[in-house]
Amino acid sequence: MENLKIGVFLSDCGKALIEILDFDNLTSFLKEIPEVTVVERGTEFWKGSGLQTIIRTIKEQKANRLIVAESLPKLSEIKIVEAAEASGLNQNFVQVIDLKNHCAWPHRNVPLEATEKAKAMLLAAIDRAKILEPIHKLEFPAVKSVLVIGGGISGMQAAEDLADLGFEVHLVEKAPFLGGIAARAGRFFPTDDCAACIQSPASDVKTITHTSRKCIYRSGIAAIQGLKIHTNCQVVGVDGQAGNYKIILEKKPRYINETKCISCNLCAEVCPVEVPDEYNVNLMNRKAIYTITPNIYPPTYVIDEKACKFNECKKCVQVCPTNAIELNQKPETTTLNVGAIIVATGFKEYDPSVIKEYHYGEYPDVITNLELARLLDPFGPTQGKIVRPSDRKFARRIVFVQCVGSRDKRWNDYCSSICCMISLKHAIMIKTSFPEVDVSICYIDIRTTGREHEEYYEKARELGVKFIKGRPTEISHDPESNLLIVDVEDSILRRLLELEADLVVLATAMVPSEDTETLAEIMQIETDEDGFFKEYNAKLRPTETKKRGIFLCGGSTFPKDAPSSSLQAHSAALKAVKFLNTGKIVKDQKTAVVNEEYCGDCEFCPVSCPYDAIELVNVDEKHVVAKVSDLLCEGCGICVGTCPLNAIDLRHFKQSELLSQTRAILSIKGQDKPLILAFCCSECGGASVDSAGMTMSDYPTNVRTVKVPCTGYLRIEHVLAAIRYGAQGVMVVGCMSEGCHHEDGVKKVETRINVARALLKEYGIEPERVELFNTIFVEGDKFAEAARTMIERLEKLGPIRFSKEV
Amino acid sequence: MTSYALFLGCTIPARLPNYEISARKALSKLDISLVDLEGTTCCAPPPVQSLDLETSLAIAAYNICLSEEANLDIITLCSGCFESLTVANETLKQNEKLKAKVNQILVKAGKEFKGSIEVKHYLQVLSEDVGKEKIKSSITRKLCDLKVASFSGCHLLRPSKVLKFDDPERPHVYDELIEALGAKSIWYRNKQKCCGGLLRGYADDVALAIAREKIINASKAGADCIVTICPFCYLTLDLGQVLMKSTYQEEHNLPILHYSELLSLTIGVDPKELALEFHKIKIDSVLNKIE
Repeated sequence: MENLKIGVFLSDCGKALIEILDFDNLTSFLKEIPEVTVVERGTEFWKGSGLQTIIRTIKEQKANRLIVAESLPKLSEIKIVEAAEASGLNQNFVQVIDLKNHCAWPHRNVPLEATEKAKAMLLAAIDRAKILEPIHKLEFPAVKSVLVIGGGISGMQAAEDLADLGFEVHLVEKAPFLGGIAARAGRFFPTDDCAACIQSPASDVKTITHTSRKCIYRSGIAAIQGLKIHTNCQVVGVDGQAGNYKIILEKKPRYINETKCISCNLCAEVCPVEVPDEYNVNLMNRKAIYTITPNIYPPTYVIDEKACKFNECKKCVQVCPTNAIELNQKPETTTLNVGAIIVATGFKEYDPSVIKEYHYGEYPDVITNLELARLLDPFGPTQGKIVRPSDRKFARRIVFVQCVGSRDKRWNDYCSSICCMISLKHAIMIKTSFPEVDVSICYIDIRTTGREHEEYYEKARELGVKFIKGRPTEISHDPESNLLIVDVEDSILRRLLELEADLVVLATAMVPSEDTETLAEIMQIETDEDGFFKEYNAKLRPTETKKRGIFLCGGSTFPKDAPSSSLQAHSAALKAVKFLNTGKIVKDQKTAVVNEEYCGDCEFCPVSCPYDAIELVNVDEKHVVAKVSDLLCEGCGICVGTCPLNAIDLRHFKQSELLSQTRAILSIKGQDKPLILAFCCSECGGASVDSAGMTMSDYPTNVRTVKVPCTGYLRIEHVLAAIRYGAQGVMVVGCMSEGCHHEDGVKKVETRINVARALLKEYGIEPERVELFNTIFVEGDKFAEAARTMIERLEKLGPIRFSKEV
Repeated sequence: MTSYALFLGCTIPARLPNYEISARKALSKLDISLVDLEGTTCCAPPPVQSLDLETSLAIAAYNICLSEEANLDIITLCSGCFESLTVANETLKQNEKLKAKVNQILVKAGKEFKGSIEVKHYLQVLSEDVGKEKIKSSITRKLCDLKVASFSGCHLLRPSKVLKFDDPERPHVYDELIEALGAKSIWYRNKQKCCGGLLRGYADDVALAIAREKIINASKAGADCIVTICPFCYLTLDLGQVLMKSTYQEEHNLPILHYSELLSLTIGVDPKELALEFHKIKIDSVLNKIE
């Protein structure tokens, strides 16, 4: 091994620190340490001539470990590490510490003490530098192919985006035709434009300009190079990992050869089997061989397996002019290899038949909004006329009931967010075409939060739609008059009303699509308490999952209107591109590593890992050891804190590094107050320590900080070690309980702290010497105050008196 | 012949002899033998439950103990008794802690709750033990186009998870029992809504207004009578019509019958034995529709 040569670069931050820290003193202190070969002083080292000094030092081989004291944490660190790497030094050999925010500014009123603390901080970095090991870059191949599950509005748009950018895309739709729930809905609010309309692919340059939008069947979606559409098809298996997923698809037989079919309708004409058409609210019959609506993709037919008589009949086979009907088709399984998956499985209407007081399913004239949409569709069973299904008479009085199964603790707590607008859309459509129809909407709150949504509400009122504030208690049916009676208390009039109606329309809750749970299990991704897929972070990563390479869009995460679904589709597509664009995934090996000699036969780490990065591998028949995936591991170290056998360590932050830093930083005391060690995480908790400095919030210099990747990394021994090395108290500063950047690291450490406190008590040490604090960046003052309180508390307690050996 | 211990409660023996006699006659004609329990007390209805649960359970359990000693299942006529005894019986059967507490109280009266019997409403006995077919075959007098507004009240159905009598939102058992007699159970507005009875004594005017709405809805739908189960529904609607006369200056004259009366009349009990004179609203128009 080459000789250890540590170069230390002290920035006075544009002379901002020279009034506080005694740089001459620091320099002479450093020069006495034998491993330190270079000590440089400057005003800034993260750019300009300062950075050149660092580069020169590396190139001239004057130093092979760097410690740079800079402010502007993170940005300066990125720049310095980049330059060092480019000059041939391993990234892990560079440490950037922040003497400004962690020392000079919070202690600006006590310069002598601050200088002593700065020495301790430098010493900690030097001791750590002595045992650092290089971290290498890893590369994983990524297949430039994407699977999009769900052929509704968001799935189609994401698929188009990706195919237009040259990716191979497999768009899988469970139903025989594309379109999803939007196609059934007919029209969109508040623009009233057609639901069959999608963006036109950029690749279709012959007929379409980049701004145009077209019906699905005119859009050219099927002609896009690289886009393969699999209808009547389901994902049944997902294996492999990010960048390289193996997908198993099962194609249900359509019994029609899509490429041969010319949609001449001769088959449906001769088909002798008629069944109720569920797509059209059972208000008309369809044949066993059928298509749903003329503007659909693929422009072909499908055979209803349950209704068709197959070989007993074969009339369609005889009449088909292109021999497109293949009655012997069997389910087919295909395997795909993709780099990423976009889940766009959408939502569905809640089945309101469980809400017995509304008698859906029992009274034919109680229907749902989607069923009404079929009635309103000119391609629908009534050509757009509104009838009551029971006797097909024109419906003159229509009552909408909002929040059916939503905002109701018995069924679904949440607001489905789009149902108010759907009912408004339908009410407006009805009132516009048939002004004589009486339309009432019973609501709890009308929620019109999007652009032009309130105007839509206004329009409905102007058209004479009545709004009744109240949730109906019951819908009953008068068999004599065949009328429905809706009992509702108008809470504004404070009157009980009995509304007579020909048709009652239930604005039902929107819930996850049927297969959400199964798919979540197949893909090993999370769902939320309402059963929707759970995004990684609602604010900043709304279309990503915790599992790398799997993205979400549209209604799969929550009910959404078309504009939001569309927006998410483009976002998910972009995230997939970002992920696969270079054809490889490059990352630093800042990962956990298992000492197989110690590891064995427990399940703590795979369960505690927030990233599913650890699996158990058999070493022989009876014994297993943990194996960490370098691709999936995010280097948080929660496994380190969890392992009961201390068999895991982090490559980029070994426990020995933590301990040597702890010992060194406590070795210089500086003043006569009790020493405190604050372990802080590298996210919100650590940021609050930064911001205490930035806001110049005073706290005593005897509070010394050591950063860990996540507080979940900490083991009880680490806390005890701090005390052994001279700390009179230990603070653990992590993120807010619900805001941990590694899911629940801070919750896990809370439990451990409680155990540590109990242990200390056993040794006769007051448990209140150890405490967890949850802070966020802006709470620098909170950290400072906590530090002051802690010191006061320790002063009252007096020095630790060991009754037993720790 | 199946035997049951008859639990009468308070209102029926005190105010509704026509209910008691018709139930006794009808059930005995349908081979259900009734054994009178000695020394029964108040059933501890829901208002008592809300005052002190343990006390109310102990009172109800005392009555159940009497029946356990006789080794008979309980049959009730009153829906309130059905609710309170069933709630007590089921709660104590499932909750060992409460059972122990209640038994500590009962021991002072020399009783112990064991949980060995069931509590049934007489409609349950009719639908489950006797059966619609037997009722149909016992009919000796035909109803001529009798349109009945059926009204089951609250405590026959609710709390549904404990009582398990019928679907509380879409009840059908009671209507089927009415149709088994050859009557037509008609639909009328707000059929399942409250009779108003439990508001009496607290807000008489509101109670009466609710009852009036029920009478009007049933009349509008062309009902010849309302047939009730619960003693309080009966009182509210029958006696209520007398009060409507003075309060609203309205005469509805809509006969209110206990189901047991209609049952007795169709299976051949002599009307003279049924104390029909106790009806405040005369039921002659109904009697005229019986062959």
